[in-house]
Amino acid sequence: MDRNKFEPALIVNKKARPKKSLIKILKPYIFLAPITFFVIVFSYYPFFKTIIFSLFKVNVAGELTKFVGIKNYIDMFKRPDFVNSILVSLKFTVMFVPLAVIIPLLLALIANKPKFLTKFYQTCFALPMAVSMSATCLIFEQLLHRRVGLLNYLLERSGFYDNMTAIDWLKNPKWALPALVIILIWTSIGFDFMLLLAAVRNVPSELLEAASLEGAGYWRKVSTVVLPIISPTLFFVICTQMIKGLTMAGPVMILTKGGPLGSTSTMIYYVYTTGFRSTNYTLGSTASVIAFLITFVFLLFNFIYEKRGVNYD
Amino acid sequence: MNSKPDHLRLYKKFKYYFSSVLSILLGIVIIFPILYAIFAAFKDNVNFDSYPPRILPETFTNLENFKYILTETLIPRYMLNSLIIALVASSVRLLFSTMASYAFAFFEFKGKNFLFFFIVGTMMIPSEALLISNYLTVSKLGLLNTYAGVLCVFFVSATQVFMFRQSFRTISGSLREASYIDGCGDLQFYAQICIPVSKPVITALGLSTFVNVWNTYMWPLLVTDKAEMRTVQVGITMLSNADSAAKGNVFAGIVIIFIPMLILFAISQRNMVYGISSGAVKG
Repeated sequence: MDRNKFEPALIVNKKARPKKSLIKILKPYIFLAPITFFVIVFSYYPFFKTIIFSLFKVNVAGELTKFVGIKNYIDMFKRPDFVNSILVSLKFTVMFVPLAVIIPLLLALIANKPKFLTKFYQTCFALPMAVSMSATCLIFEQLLHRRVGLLNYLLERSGFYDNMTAIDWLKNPKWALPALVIILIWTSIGFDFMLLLAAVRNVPSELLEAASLEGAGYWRKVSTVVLPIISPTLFFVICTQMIKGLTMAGPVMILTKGGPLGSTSTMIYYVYTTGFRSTNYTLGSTASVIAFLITFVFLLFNFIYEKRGVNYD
Repeated sequence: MNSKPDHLRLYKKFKYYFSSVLSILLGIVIIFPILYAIFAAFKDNVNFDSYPPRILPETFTNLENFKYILTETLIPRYMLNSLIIALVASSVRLLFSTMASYAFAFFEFKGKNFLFFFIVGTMMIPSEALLISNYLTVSKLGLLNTYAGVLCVFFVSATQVFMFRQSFRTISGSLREASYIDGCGDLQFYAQICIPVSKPVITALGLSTFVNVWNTYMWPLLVTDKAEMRTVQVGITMLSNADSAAKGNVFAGIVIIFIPMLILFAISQRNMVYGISSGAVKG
């Protein structure tokens, strides 16, 4: 056979016979083929397709009809309902991320000290991760019910509602978004608690003892010894929570449908209503790209900060 | 003089039990929604409209709600759908990512770095931004209302590739050389050395994928509209929106779909996070 065909192979491995080295060369690609296929078809292809869609007018069948450049984006920012959805997502993220990091962290610190029945409450702290988001939504819908919900009952009994009518949590423009924050925090407590607990447990006890000898109190030890050591895990949790907050849509779809008065209409919920409810792929794709860019900028900021704040030793 | 240490010890003991009790109370507050759902599953439907709201049901022997869910609704079918989807998705994902990681850990080849970043780069693209395009692809392939249509977007996990590469790197190159000389091929080395060595990571990542896929809501909702192809998560919210089904039934449904997760959780609480805390985060 034509020897030249195998020349690159011969350069890589001169001892091998030509046929064998071809297999050898192809082998890693064969191992990588399945995942690469799916990465292309279901990640990069749709990603670029969405970007292209956002530069065109797209009809209901998903075909491009007219190139319009960045006009879609300009139009997008003139739509008050879309600008509102960006603000809602940002507001949600600002409320969600700090709590969704601090609460599991505090729980991990609490559970790290061996106490009476530690196993029991550790399991309690982790258990929410076994409940799915949609089930959680349905449970909280009942707990937050205006008339027969347990929360309002407790608030009423404790005298909180003395001079006002009971709040209808999920139907009040001011309170619906915070209510969704609580629900999403509850669903994510379990997993992040377990992660942070594993990290806190890995803090070497000698370091803590050394800090105690120098007279450091508990919180001082946490801030100077524990936090720097668990910073990689913390960073991971912050990033994932940020993505979760910015792309939140499930609870909105199940509980509030974007309302009341658009107060819970998030970016991805906007994508859902425009793209799937009204089959307007132009709007939906443009909104998707903007949502992606906003998420990306947030992550970028995180990674810039990581260089300074996270310690990998 | 002796009273002081005694006093201190007493104080310490008090502090120990006091903080224990506080922690236990906190634990109960956190799992309260779960307890509430379990109690609610035994209530008859009138109970939900009563004021003041009641937490405990009148009896724990009223199994009507469970009977209704298991016989009158499609929830059992939904559970089967979700089970199939979650099982296939987590196994295929594990297979694909271990294969890819094997290539990254043990081979030298052209474009290695590029391919690695090509795959890991998908971490930066949230799947929510791809919903429309992926929906169009799936519908063009005629996969709406099929398992394949729901499954196809779950096969890739960049995080897993990252972690398995980490894990395979702990296997020394000389071990591979030695088994090569003994006539052990790559497939054999992959199946008989790499996979068993990474068993803890595989269990951890397999379980967390299973839970995640079982819990996804939006994608299955978009690509299925036939009643019998729904997954549990979609099905349970449909049940709650339907007028015919009452609150007690919905909570029984919630409890029933919670049971498989609870079993998994009981078996594997520790395993579930092991992979992430040991692999990705330490980089």
